[in-house]
Amino acid sequence: MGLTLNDASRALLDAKNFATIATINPDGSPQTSVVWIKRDGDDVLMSTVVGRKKDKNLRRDPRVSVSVFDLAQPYNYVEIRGTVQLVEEGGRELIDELSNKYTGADYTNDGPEAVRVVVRLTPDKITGNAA
Amino acid sequence: MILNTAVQALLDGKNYAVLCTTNPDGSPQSSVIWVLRDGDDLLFSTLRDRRKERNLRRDPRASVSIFDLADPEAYAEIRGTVTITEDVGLVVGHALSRKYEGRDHEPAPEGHVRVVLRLTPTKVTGHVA
Repeated sequence: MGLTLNDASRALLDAKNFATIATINPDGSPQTSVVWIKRDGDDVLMSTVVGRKKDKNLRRDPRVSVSVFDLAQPYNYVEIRGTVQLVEEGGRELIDELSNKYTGADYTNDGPEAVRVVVRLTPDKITGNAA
Repeated sequence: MILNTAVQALLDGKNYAVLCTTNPDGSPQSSVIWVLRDGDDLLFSTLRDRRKERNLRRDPRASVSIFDLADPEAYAEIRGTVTITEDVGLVVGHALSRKYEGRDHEPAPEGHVRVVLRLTPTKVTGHVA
């Protein structure tokens, strides 16, 4: 059972703000990367490719922390922690939706062998000025 | 580890970083934070006993992501190890506040101690790395 995102958090996630996702490496150290995000109800959707470091980390340990701030007002931010589910179904559609949100066009940078994955984060802790 | 000029420029600009530490249960914690570059090290300011400070005392390994506010596709991830010292005279606190706000930092609240987190990079990746 996940939490409910408030209006301020929803607005942060719905706008063209870039998120930073943190995962855990095999040695227990943290790894971060800048990603596109999309909200689906109270879940946060991100995209990755099978075999990337983030994908491998998440298959081993699905716990993440995602920080998002308003590009125009960085003190307005939210940290969302929780556990992700990885699903290949809809992976291609999601990267195109994300690309359209952020760039206005479909995504064309994947090689033919790239298998896109939907990273679905269901929040179990929400903090920050916008939380 | 030497930071290249593009990464230096990202850190020297008024860009906001996200600093990630690990919680006692091994899960990640992240927060938005000001950053200052000192040579090839990254400096942050926080209060003693804040979650990230306690996490770093237990496990000094951290990861920082930063992107250009004007061009977010230009980003870097910097991983490394953090040392913690008291910010005597608020030297780093003031420098950070001047960089982002153009004024001195407010004093730490009564009973709190402001500390410097110094991250020495061991790995740098990303589009500008």
